[in-house]
Amino acid sequence: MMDGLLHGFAVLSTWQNLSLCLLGAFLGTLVGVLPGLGPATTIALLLPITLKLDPTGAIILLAGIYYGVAYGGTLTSVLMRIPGEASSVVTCLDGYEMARRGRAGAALGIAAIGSFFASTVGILGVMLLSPLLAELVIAFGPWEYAALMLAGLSLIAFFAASGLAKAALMALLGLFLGSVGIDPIAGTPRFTFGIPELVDGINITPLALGLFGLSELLFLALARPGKAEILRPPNSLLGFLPNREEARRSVAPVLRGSVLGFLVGLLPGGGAVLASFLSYAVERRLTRRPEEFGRGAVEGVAGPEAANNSGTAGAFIPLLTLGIPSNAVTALLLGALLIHGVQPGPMILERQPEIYWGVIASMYLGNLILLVLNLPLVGLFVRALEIPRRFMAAAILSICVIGVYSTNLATFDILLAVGFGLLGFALRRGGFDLGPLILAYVLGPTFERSLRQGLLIADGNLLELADRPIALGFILAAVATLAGAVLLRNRARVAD
Amino acid sequence: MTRTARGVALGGLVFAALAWWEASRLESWSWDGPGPGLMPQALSILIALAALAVLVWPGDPTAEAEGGAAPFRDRTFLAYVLAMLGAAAAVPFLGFVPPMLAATTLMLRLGERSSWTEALLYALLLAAGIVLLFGTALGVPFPTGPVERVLSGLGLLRGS
Amino acid sequence: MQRRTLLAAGAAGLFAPHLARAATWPEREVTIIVQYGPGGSTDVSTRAIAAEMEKILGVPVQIVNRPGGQGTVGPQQVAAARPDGYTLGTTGLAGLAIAPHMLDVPYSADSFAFLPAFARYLYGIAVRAESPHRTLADLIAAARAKRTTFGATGAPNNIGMFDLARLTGARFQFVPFGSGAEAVTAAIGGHVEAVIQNPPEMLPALESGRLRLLASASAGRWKEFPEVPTLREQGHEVVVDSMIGFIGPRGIPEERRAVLARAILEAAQKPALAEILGRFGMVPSLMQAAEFETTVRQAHDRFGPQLREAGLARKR
Repeated sequence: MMDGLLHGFAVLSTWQNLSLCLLGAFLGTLVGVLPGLGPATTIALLLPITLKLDPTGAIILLAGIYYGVAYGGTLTSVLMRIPGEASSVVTCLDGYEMARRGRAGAALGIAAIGSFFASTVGILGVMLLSPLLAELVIAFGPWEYAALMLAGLSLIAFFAASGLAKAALMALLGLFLGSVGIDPIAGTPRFTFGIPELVDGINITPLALGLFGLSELLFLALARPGKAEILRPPNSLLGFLPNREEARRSVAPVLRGSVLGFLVGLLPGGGAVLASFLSYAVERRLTRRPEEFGRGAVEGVAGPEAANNSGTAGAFIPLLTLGIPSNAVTALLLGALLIHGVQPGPMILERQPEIYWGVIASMYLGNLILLVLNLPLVGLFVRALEIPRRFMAAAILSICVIGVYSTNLATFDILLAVGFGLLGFALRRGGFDLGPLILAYVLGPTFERSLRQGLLIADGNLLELADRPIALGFILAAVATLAGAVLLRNRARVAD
Repeated sequence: MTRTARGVALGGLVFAALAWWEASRLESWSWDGPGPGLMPQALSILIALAALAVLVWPGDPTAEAEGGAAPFRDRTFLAYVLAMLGAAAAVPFLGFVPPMLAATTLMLRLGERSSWTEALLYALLLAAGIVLLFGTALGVPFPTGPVERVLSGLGLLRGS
Repeated sequence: MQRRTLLAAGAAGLFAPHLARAATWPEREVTIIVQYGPGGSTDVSTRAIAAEMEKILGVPVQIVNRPGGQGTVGPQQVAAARPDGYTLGTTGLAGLAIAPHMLDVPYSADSFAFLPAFARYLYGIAVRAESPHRTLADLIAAARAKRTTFGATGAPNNIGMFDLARLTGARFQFVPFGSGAEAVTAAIGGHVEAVIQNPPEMLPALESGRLRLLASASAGRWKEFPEVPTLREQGHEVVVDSMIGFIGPRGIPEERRAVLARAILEAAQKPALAEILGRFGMVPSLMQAAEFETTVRQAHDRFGPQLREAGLARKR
């Protein structure tokens, strides 16, 4: 294995491959920063250009974009509450609040360092555990997915700081929004009202950009005029980095996020988005300071940021070892591999090991480059907060509009985003927590589809679940989580 | 805050009613399992129940609503809302550049009391920057409109 | 004599520009609207054939992706485009013969002018290596005795299995999956007993021995597994087929249609195209425009009742 890795670094050490790695990481960060523009769009746009490259170079470039995005998306989430990437939506919850308290630099710093650590863990996992993890991927069938989603949904119980009723309403709304589109089993459209853009469902980009970014724009309007100084940049250079306490509190979340994100990223249909959400929910469950969540808890940034990076690495395993893409971006990477005549799958280690090891080596190097790129620039980025509000707001609106359009080339999405922006304003003003909404929106569709698939397979016979330990395990976890949440609330109320 | 929360809850009730009306047109049960309508129907009922619960427990009445007491009287707020709505309505017909020029100018002139010069100049710079960054450099397609057609002819934008 | 020649020359002079223009059509770039996203098999194959068409037509051929709506957004735009021959699109059976039964689409086969088709998808039925079914006959026998699940993304794969079930009295239960990869993974893990999908999704597992190919569901055998017979060869008159073909809005002038059709047919025979198609598990397969149109229309009429029977089509 070490020779494999050394072979990979050898492959990487041509000028061409090195510069492609750098270019990919840089482009990825840029794409991650720009809201709406996602890795899928960018990779798709670059595919024709990569045809002029050799397979290894092409994949190094495209892979760089994919994991570079996980770093860039944090930036606008923390500084402007605009998710640059679907997987950075969660960072909007606490990262932005940290920025409001003058800890923007700390948030960005923790995110960068945590991301690097998580990527390293992820890459190690890819190297060492691929065969084992391939088995895990295969062991997950519809019942297991349904149970996993149920366990994830049960974590919503820990978002009830604003009140159980409000959290429930948000979660139910999220589930509903997720069900718009073509029914996954029957194939008939639901709630599309004849609008073709809704046939594929409500895309997360207009939803997230609207609910978080555009609504934040409206709150910016109501803040005192002048600079966007509700975000206070720290006065000294050291203020740009996390302080000792923040660093200490981040260690466990980063570790947990790395492992959780990696495992979730493995599963087809998983990926970085799911990983970051689950990590946030887990951290919220485990924290000793639940009242801080939603108000700038560093755990709410450290965990999800780590998770989304190791989730990205994890998604490579099914791609490279089984030829199975976990999400839309890896599907594109698969297409790119096929175009170049590379057949990913178990045979790739025998037939084209230089591609496999070259990609892995480039992931190490790429993540290092990203850390080096991002950390010093934290200070620079935080300075961006000093741009006067009037310029910042207009720029945000324009960037959001083109960003939303670029996802599906549908102007209808812009209307959706604005609508969600207004809704997000009303919700935040009414004291509703957006976390449950987004979590339910992300997990709900997979839950419903997997459950119905499972019922089809078992012919309605739920007793078949008894043979499925993994599924049963997750269901028990879900029940335990819900019970735990209820008990905790009761105890807290009694203690009052 | 509680007033807005109650408002949202009322909206939720209306939404649940509409959702039920549309969901009931879908099949609840097909012959081999739950149909497409089952979950939406269950959700509309549950949403109604949750909305009622929020009406009863809208939260801490002493907490101040974020955004202050009367956002709808704030000039900047209204300018921003108008700009957003205008953009959403106009972009499908006029492309990206003209509506966003208007939106930016509106936001600066009306919302921030900038001078016409500052507003127009910044609007032009912003639009140019976005066209160059997203359109020319990154090759992202833009919504079709008169200005986009011209820019496409000049080679700055990909045809869309 | 001289005057007649002069007259003839004059007449020729009048007509020459028109003839010359007709001979040099197209004069500017042709756009092809692909109904799926970039990087997928349809997109890559269309780009490959478009590259050849460029050389033949002498004008740039631009690809535009309009994915969505299960392959219906692209054809929608094609149907609404100007019928001047400069805007074309690709389609398979999904957008024209399958989706119209599930969604409301604003077009029908009558909205288009058909052009030749150039590639065919391959399909195969496989089970996991640990499965007790070593041959297709085993699978069918087991399905006759007990309901057997199979994974697939939808039509036309599942319709093939329904046909097979009807012919043999087997009971196959369709379990839909969002992508071919998910269906194949479920089969490898034994969550469904069989899978019917395309080669690129199944080859890695087939080659490493985790899946066993029981039959090719296409008209011919797979080149990677020449020893595995087709369904037809095993005695079942079932063929699962889908192709990629070109369409244009109805009303394209006949001469222009002819020029395009000739270019497509010529481009479709280039070896570079066959190479790319092979990488995505497809085969080059020429179909004249009329044949393509008939195939699409027949498929549309045939799939309707079958989808409705399986509870997959919208209620009328």
